[in-house]
Amino acid sequence: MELITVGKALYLSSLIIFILLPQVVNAGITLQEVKTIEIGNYDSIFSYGYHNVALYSNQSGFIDIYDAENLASPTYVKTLNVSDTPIQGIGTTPGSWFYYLTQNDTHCILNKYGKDNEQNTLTRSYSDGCYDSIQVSLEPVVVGFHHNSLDVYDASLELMSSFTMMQISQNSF
Amino acid sequence: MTGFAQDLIYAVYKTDSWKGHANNGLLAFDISDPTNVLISGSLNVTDEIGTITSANIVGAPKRVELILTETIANNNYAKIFDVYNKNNMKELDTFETGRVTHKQAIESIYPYIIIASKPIGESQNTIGGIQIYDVDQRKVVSMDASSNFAEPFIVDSYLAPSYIYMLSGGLNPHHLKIFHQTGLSYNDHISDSPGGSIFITSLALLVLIKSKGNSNLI
Repeated sequence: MELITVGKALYLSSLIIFILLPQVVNAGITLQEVKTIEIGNYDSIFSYGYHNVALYSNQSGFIDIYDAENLASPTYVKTLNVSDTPIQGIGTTPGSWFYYLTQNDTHCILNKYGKDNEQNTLTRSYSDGCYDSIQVSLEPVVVGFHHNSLDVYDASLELMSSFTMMQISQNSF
Repeated sequence: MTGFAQDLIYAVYKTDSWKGHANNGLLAFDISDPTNVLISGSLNVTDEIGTITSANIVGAPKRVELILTETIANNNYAKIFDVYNKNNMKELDTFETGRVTHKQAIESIYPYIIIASKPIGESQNTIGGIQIYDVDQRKVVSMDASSNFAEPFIVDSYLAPSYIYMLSGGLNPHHLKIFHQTGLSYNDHISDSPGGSIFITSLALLVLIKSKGNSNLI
């Protein structure tokens, strides 16, 4: 009888440890799911501004904005229709701006978006395609990468310099 | 935030086809003068850089490590490079990861690297998981693929203070899952600001591939 009682106690303890308590994935590290939000078909999540979280898809020009001031429970704010063509990449800044890359049949377009809906657009054409991605540094400086070259832009999206790796890639170092 | 890392952008390039092992390199570009970009450092990684699936930087600005995940013959690995000294970049570690299915599947908050991936050795149809690598201990300290993350693909993640956002993809419906995390506290003696290491990730990189037709590999 006592053996059965002890067994029940051990079983219940196991339930508490492995099911009821937050899952322990490592000593001192715990992850507990607090919310699940059903969303559309999105490929990427990024933050901008002070407490905005945004989702976008590589297949569309739409960006869903969530207010994440309460990190445990972000709330949907609005959907931005920033482009008629798919978003190819996004570069974020610590401030309220983000930059995104789009492409149509003839042009590679580097865009800037801010909380006041101010939007600058730069059209950049290449004979052999568009940037593969963009990255944003402080200032901010925007860098577009394309095959074996990179272009550096200032915050107003004026081209400041270009760098081609061709002469470097022929070296083995 | 001060530190040299904000003036550097890193890139990996290959001069041969992705299966080749010749002339794979890691480059640091100095953009402190945006009108005159310079290559400030380089590291020859002679072999075993496969298809780069993701990249990130951790520990900036006082200690900078670059993490690449890659696929080689259907196996995924992460490579850690010490890029603090741009004139003497070194490869530090290589460890096996699960299948990293998205190029943005890495977040970092010093001293941890969080990789969203498939469990090691599992197929595409299994659930995703979160792998945590400690750059101080230089080892994987956690690999979780429990039912908590029962999504076939984790396509992206966002690391906020005390929370991890995981964005699932693949099978419908897609979900944004939010996890409260404890125990992953960054060392603010390393990063000058709470957002420092996260922001520096935006400096990160991509693959520059000389050979035409390889741009779709990333």
